[in-house]
Amino acid sequence: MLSWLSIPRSGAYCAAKSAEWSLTNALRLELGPQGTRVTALHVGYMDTDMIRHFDIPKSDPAAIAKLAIDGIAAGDAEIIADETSRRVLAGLSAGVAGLYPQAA
Amino acid sequence: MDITGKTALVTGANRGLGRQLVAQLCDRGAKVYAGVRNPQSVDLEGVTPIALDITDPTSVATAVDATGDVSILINNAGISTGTSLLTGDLANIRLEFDTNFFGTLSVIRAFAPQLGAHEGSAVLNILSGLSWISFPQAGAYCASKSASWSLTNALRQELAPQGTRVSALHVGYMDTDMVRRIEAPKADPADIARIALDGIEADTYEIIADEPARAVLARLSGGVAALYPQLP
Repeated sequence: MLSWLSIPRSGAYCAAKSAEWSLTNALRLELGPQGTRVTALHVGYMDTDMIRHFDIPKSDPAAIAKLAIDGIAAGDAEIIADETSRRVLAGLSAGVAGLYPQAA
Repeated sequence: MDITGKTALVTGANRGLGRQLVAQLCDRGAKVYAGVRNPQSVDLEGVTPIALDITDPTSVATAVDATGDVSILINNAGISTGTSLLTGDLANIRLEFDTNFFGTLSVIRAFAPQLGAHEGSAVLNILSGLSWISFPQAGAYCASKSASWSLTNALRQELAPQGTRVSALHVGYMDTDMVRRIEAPKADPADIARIALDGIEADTYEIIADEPARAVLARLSGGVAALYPQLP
């Protein structure tokens, strides 16, 4: 989800994920002809070591893993794994005003 | 912000959109530094050429020392090598990130104190509709612009407290050297420069400069299915 929304205290992580989103979209097109499906999963915070210091609602990685594997099985090109990611995606087309309502 | 009387720095200022931005900033009454790798390549009157290779931290630091009064920074310098992420030369992919992402980032970081010394200041990053949609034949460029879009969104929040407004311009193809081999409708860089400067004067955070960029943005929330309808 931070592929699409940048949080300054993790700005480097977010920029790396934005680049990875673009990479996924390019390689999906390039590997399609050989029958390789390239998929991305977008998720907000999960209850893992990566963000153990963040005191916020977190999804269960077991549930996200299930969604990921279900997505592969279904041939999905994009797996939106939680409500937070879904909200960010929905706000994308509104640009800065949609994603960063705090910006005056 | 009013451009008249301000001091601006434009990177990649000797040709294409950069050259138009420099000319039009002058027309609007700004003092302009034209940042270029080779100062002798600047052919506009009334501007101050300044040696600046955005991939070289020493060059960036020297440019900071040589200026001092910049309150409008336009990060226009960029490179496109037409490199596939799958089959292209990794050195080209790194070059695009070193220039488009890390180069832009290092210029903003280095000039942030100078910008913050003014009551109001502005940074404009020249991005692309390709920040949002990827073309495999230019996959490295697209990914570097996606990262730069994220960078813009982060730094906008981090520089707001010092009164620096950070914005991005998204545009499709322009009729410049960068895409001279691509056969497609192209916008006139003079028109895009005018839209860019109008955006700075109107304090716009996101300047959508042409119809192709607008169309991509409109499809973003539709995800892969909307952006890549050619996929099975």
